[in-house]
Amino acid sequence: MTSVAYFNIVVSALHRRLAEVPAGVLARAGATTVLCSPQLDLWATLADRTFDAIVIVVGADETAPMAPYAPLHEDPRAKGIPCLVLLDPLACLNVATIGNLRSVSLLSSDCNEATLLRNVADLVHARRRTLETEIEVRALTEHLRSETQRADALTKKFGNISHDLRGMLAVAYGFTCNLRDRAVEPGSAAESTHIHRILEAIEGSTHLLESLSGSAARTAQREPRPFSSMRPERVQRSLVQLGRLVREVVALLEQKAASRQMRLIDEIDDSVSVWADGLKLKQVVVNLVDNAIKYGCPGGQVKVRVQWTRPSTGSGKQSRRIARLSVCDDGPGIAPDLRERVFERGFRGEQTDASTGQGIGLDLVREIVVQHGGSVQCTDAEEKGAAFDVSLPADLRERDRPGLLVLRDTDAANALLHLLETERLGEWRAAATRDDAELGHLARECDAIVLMPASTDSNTADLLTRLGPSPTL
Amino acid sequence: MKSQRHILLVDDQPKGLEFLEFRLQQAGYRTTIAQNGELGLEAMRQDPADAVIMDVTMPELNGYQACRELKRLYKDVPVIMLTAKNEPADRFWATQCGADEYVTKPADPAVLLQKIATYLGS
Repeated sequence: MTSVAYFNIVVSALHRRLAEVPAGVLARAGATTVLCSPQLDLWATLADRTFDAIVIVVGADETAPMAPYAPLHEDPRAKGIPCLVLLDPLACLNVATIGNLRSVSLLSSDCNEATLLRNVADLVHARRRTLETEIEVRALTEHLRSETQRADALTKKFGNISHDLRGMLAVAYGFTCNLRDRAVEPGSAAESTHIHRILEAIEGSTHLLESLSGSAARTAQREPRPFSSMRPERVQRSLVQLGRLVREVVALLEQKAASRQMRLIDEIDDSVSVWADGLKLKQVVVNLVDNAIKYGCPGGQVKVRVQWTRPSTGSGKQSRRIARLSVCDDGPGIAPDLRERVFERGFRGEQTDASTGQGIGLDLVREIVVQHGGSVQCTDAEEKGAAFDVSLPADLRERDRPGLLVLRDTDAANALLHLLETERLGEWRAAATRDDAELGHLARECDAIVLMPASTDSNTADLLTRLGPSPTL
Repeated sequence: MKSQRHILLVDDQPKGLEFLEFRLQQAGYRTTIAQNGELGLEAMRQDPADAVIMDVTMPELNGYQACRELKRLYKDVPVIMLTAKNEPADRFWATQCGADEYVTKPADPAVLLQKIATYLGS
């Protein structure tokens, strides 16, 4: 893959004219470039936006040309952004300085355009692969941790049941031996006590066996996926209006809530949208609301809230706003020591009578949320009951000034969206639609519209006329 | 009539030893039941037994700990461990703690009676 289209690239040089040539080459190939100087605006630019790569151009006449870039290896905003140094063959470079910078590649500034483009594209793609691998490793680690905990819990449970079962059988065996040895007078009270004890032990053993096979059946229902399928499934992302999705779920479950005389209340900020797999996210919401109905107080209420929050700490990328979904019930709540365990696979609470519902388990809720780069927590509800808070990054491409790239929904558009989706450092929020009305609606909020080749027909021309001049085309 | 020899039964679930208690009493032994190692030692202090049958898994003081202490105080009193634990390591620890016999559950009361009779020479 050698295309640099849609990459955001900083081209930096001590002398602006040096940066102009490579910036021009990259821009002609479809990249968005920003020219900076380390002595002027580079640091402010890095603070303001997220970039795919930094290209540093070093001229022949510069002494210690890398010195101004030394902060790059300390600046968290530049962390992980691949850096390509275009070096004039005549430049004298302090190699030790270069060595301190992360992800630095060197290239002669004499190179042809194709070489430059290929090097930049390779660097960015290598970085993306690293990011994807990191996400996969995190998901796998989480998966392994929960599987191990589940296995430990089951081993302990089966051990206890097996011990009790052996005790019961020993009782039945002992009393039967007494009868065998004719140690008990036939027809005596002692004989009837013996028979009673034996029956009691057999009955007790049966109950234990039932609980054992019940556990085994539940375990089988939740059989861990084989290792080969542990690789997180690719999520099919699109721009999801969280509020709309929650309303759909509330409508779906309203009747169930009514059957328990419960009310579903939603408090929704309609501006909340996330870059997510709508279907999977719906599973999450259904499960949380369904659980809240099951464990909430009959006659009570379940509150579903959708809002924006900002992390209390952090700066730069860390301070991006977060989409928050809270589902609160007014039931008995969840004891603090169980709040982490409820997300374990195979975990069953005390109230097992009602816990045979549909939907997915909380372990899968967490898995899906983690796949989306978010987190889920169980806490106390405001007054009483349990609250489940799901935090999702609004959109990894989101800027402080929201931008939206809207595409006509074609195969080519979806291919481009897919590319942008894997682009976790980019700045665009993007969406595709076939619906002219929706396109018009989105276009009013967006900075740019991309019309893919298949849609350049007369209808589009009409649409453009109606949209007016605001977005960039 | 056998002499009233005294057997101490130590198990946290005394119901599990009821069949044995019946057989021991029928055979002319006097029996006392204690529900953990600590209580077993206390019972020994108050009314020393001629032999002890003891479980391993018990709260407070477990069978191994109680057996060690019992053997320290009453060297000649035979101790039979009666347990559902059946690993070689369990047998090893029982021997280390001075137990004279190691019997796994389910146990035949006739066999246990035979062992008691042998130890007590009755």
